[in-house]
Amino acid sequence: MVVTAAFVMLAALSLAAILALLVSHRLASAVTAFGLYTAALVSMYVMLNLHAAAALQLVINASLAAALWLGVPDSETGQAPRSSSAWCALAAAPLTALACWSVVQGRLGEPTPDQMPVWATGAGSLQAVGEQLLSTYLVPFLLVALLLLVTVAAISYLRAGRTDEGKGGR
Amino acid sequence: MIRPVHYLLLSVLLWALGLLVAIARRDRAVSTLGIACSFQAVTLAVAALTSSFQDWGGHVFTLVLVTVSALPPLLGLVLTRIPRSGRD
Repeated sequence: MVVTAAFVMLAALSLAAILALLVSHRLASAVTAFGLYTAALVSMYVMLNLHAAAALQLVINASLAAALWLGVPDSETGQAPRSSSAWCALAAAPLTALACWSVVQGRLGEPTPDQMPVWATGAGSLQAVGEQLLSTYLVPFLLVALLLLVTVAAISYLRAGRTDEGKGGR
Repeated sequence: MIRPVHYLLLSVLLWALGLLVAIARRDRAVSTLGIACSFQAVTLAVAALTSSFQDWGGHVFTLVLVTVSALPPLLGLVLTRIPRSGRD
């Protein structure tokens, strides 16, 4: 019951964060929403007992957010990159390292094996996933791959058209 | 009981919303964050499927997936030269 409640809360948090990212008008609010999304994602990795992946995800997302926050001028306000915020990032680095260490050590949650999601009962290795993907679930697997390919092509097309419009407008 | 299918449904929602952010937002920085969110949603689904394996292979596979999912937004940051394009 506790795991279910935690999952519902984290799912709601991640959805709210990504919706906030969609409607955010300033880079600061976007980075804040991305931070909330990261917190929910890392917590879910901890629930799945994937502590190392949680720590890696935390470091990667923190690096991405810091790169955006420190290196990108705000498109709304046109302010320059926030070089003074580097000191804030330096101050937050020990906290991030502490969080990573605690995640790796499993201090944030120690789920018991019966709380683990079980998929493909009877499958005991990664090889079983590969065999399932390429045999039983081959068609859905290919459909997802095709969907991702079309998505990437559509994004490239839309962004290229938008860039041309911007150049034409000038 | 939370099963991987619940994570799968959540990741589909997050992937779609991340994609919407990537397409709808004009700001490249926010668009990059949307791409990162959508890739990480896919990684979450696969991680939920592999988490039932307690051997080292599943964990290594998840680590590789997390790393690979971070590459597109990081490459996007470098290739699109965001410090200049952010002023669009």
